[in-house]
Amino acid sequence: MDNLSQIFNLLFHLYMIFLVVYSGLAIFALLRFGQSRLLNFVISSFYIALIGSLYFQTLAKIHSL
Amino acid sequence: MNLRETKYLPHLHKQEKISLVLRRHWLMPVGKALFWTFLIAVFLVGSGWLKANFSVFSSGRGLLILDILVSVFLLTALLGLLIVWTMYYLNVQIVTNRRIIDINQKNLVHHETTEFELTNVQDVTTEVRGVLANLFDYGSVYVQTAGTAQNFVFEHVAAPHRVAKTVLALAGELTARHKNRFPSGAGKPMTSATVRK
Repeated sequence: MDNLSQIFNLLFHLYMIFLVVYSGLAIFALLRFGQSRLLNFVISSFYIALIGSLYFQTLAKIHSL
Repeated sequence: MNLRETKYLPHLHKQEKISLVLRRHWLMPVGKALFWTFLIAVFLVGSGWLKANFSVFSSGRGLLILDILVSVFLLTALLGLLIVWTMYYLNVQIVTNRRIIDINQKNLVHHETTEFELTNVQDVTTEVRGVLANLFDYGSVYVQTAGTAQNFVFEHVAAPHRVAKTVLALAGELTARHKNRFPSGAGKPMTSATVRK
């Protein structure tokens, strides 16, 4: 990893901390207060799968910088 | 109606029945979701245009950096869509045969529940404003309450006239029951509905 890659890696992970905290709050609120737990569970799982795949895809690109 | 009562209605009274569970009209979250979708499309088209027209973005580090920026934006847009759904789904108003309960999710960590008895209902006003509202039959219902009790608004609900009619009917039933129980005249004033378009 050179300097550029390290800078991108740091910035990306700082952003991911914000994103994970905010997403966690939203998912917590949905599962805690939502009317249908099943529907919210499906939506949350789908969201986590999408976010996870995008995260690993971006990380691979940062490592190949 | 199958509601998770422990979360929604922690103190549902005996013989209390849920008549309406209302959220904002589906057009409200769809409009916000379309906004995010439009931004995603702009980013994808924009990055495609940059790749096609600038050699610095068509290969090597330039291409990778552009792809990383697009991915970060997609992550943000997904979060935006999740929040749109969360706010839509968690803002609920429930009309029972005794009360109106407003469950208001002001933000992700601010959850507020307001309720008042239907016996306090004095006046119900329906407002359908705008072309889209008329086309898709949504609008606001203002419930005016007696005395110092807080007034109440059902914002952008579907079929507002039906909601107003139901609230008035339930309030009327409850008032009649009170009058029968206390025939000495301590009843409620007549309720009325106004339609404002």
